[in-house]
Amino acid sequence: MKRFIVKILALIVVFPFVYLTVYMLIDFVINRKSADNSLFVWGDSQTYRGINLPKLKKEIGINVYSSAEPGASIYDFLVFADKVPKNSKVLISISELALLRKKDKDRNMSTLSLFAFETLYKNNYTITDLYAIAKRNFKIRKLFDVKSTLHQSFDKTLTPEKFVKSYKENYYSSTMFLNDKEKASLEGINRLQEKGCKIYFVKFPFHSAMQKMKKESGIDRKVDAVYNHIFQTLGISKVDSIYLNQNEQIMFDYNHLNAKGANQVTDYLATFIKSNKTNDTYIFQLKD
Amino acid sequence: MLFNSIEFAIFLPIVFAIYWILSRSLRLQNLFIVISSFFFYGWWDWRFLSLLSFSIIVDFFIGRALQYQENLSKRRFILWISIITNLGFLGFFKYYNFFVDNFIEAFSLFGKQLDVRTLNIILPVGISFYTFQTLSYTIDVYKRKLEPTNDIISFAAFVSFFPQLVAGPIERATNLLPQFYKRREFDYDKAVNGMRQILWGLFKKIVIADNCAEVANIIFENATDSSGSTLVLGALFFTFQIYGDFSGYSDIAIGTARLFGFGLMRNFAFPYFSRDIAEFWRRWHISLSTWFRDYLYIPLGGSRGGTWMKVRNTFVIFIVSGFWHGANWTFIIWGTLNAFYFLPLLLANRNRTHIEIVAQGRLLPSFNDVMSMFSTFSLTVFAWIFFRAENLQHAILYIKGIFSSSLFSIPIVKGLRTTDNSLSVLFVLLFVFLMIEWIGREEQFAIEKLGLKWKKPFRYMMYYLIVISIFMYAGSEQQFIYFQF
Repeated sequence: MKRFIVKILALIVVFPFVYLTVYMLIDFVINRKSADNSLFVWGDSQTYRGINLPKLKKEIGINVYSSAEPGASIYDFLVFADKVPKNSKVLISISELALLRKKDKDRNMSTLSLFAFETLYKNNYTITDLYAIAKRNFKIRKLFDVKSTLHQSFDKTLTPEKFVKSYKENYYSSTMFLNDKEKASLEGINRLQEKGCKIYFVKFPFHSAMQKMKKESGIDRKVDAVYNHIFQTLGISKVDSIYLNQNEQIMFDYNHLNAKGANQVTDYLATFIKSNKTNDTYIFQLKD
Repeated sequence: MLFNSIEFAIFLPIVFAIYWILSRSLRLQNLFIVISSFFFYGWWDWRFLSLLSFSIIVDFFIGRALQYQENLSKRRFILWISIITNLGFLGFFKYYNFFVDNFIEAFSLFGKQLDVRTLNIILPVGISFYTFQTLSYTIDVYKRKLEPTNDIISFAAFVSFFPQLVAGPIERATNLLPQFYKRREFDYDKAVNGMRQILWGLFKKIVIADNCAEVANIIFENATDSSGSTLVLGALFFTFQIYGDFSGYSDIAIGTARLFGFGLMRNFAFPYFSRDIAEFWRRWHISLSTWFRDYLYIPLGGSRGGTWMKVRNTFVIFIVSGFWHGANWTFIIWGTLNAFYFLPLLLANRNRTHIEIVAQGRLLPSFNDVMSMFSTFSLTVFAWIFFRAENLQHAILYIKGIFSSSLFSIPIVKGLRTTDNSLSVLFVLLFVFLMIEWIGREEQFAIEKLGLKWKKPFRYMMYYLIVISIFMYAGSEQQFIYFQF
């Protein structure tokens, strides 16, 4: 019995070291990229649906790697900031939804990163929150994707009442986590700056029905204040607003672009990146 | 409590330690098994502990009543009380809504509208398993194959024994109950063997079944939008999902029981390496197949009597087996389809052709073996479509979709995230898994003897490799399929 317990305990004690070694090795192999001739994209579902990666790659003539994932939020952003190579070009979109979503509803799946855990811990994430995140990251993942999955048309099965109502309840009813997420995301931006990255910051549009609800919720102003802090950290005083052409349906639903919208955004981004403009923040909007 | 959960990872070592501390008193050990098992079951829903307790009490006293009753008709009457009570609960919780729905539909065909309401019934986890286990006890006592027990604690431990309580193997009282009467000594080799079986079970469940489930679920849910080749892929992934899921569960259950000094019956014997359907059914869910054989097929006359009798009994056993899985026509069709597969073998008297292990003593199978395994596997994959489909319409649509012009196109799984474990990784994992299963097919479970003769560092490296792949390639957590049965 004693022999059995001692052996099991020995195997268990040694296991974390073996596991972390293998983990880091695989992470190094699958997630290490070169900063040369590459653009790294991060965002949530708005970015995931809103940029045509192969098209962007073709137009700007460099590799485009995306870590955009539906539901991605601050932990995922911090991991991105930690793992993206030094001196690289990065295009990030920290969306309102990522800032407002409840912590436990975030994706939180971007492999393990000590920097990300440390930052979250400093910003009021509890041990339970961090344990839940760690649990989701035991499995190693490929951080950078080169393919896009775009929606082709507007989802006619959606009704604005139902859709907007669910977003109002889930996102625009509380700012409980906004402050923590803001501070953590600013640290992520600082990290990118320390690494000498050139940062392009992008905001994606919402359908007018969502815009209206956002304004009515009163949370809009608080979120705008967060963006002002982000722009200050980025050292930007002027923001470019770009109105997308709405001659045809460019939305898939009330907060995601469809393929036509994504292609428009991609064209604009390609022009900006190629022109090396000094202003690096772009807000895509729809006219009411 | 799921075997692949943190809760169980905490529960098991605590129970293991206390159990062996109590090893001086058999009665205390058995009592502790009952308490732990009730805790394990109550973790899911404590309200159903009353049902489990009721089943234990009824069958214990029925066993006692049978002990003192010599009159045959009275013995039969007592047995029927047990059968009606056990199957009554099972019928109510599992089949009530199915029968009500079908009665309403049948009457509506004749223009009559029945005003009978279905109920919002929660199916108690494992009810089909422990009901059959307690039934085996009363039937064996009735047949005087087993002395009824006077020890209610041992009996409660036998019915509620947590490793196999919720998804089997469905134990016979003749095998498991006497083990509760004997003093158990800790056996190092048995415990190590149990740990290896648990490890392999976790790999099958978390790596194979859960990853296959992600792809199979996407394809089955989008059957109408998928090409024929994609649908074939979906059925294939479900085939490996259900095997990894259920045989993985059984491995964990048997391995866990071994840690406590118990030997449970084998439930799977590499069924996908079967060369005909009869062999498949001797190797798949063995505890249920043999239960039906012993308590239904043989009492109905078995293979004695004429051809008609054999055919009838075969259909009865397969249809009932299908219905045991769930209150849905898809399961009944699945059972019936397997009866049709089995029938030619039965009629040609070839249902016991392949008794020995395929390619025994050799590394590679013969060409004939490969072809037989392939055809049996294909028939099985086809039948699983009914098992997995939501309803008959879904199954028919799925099958129609397969036999379309897109059958020979390149399969595309829409909605599968490319940054998650990709299909190519899954294929590699499946290949490695099948190779290990093939190499270990002569043992009780695939890695039973693997690496035992290796030097320690290599053996430990193998263990670490399996554990690391469980963490690295874990699919998203899915409930064990057989919990719903």
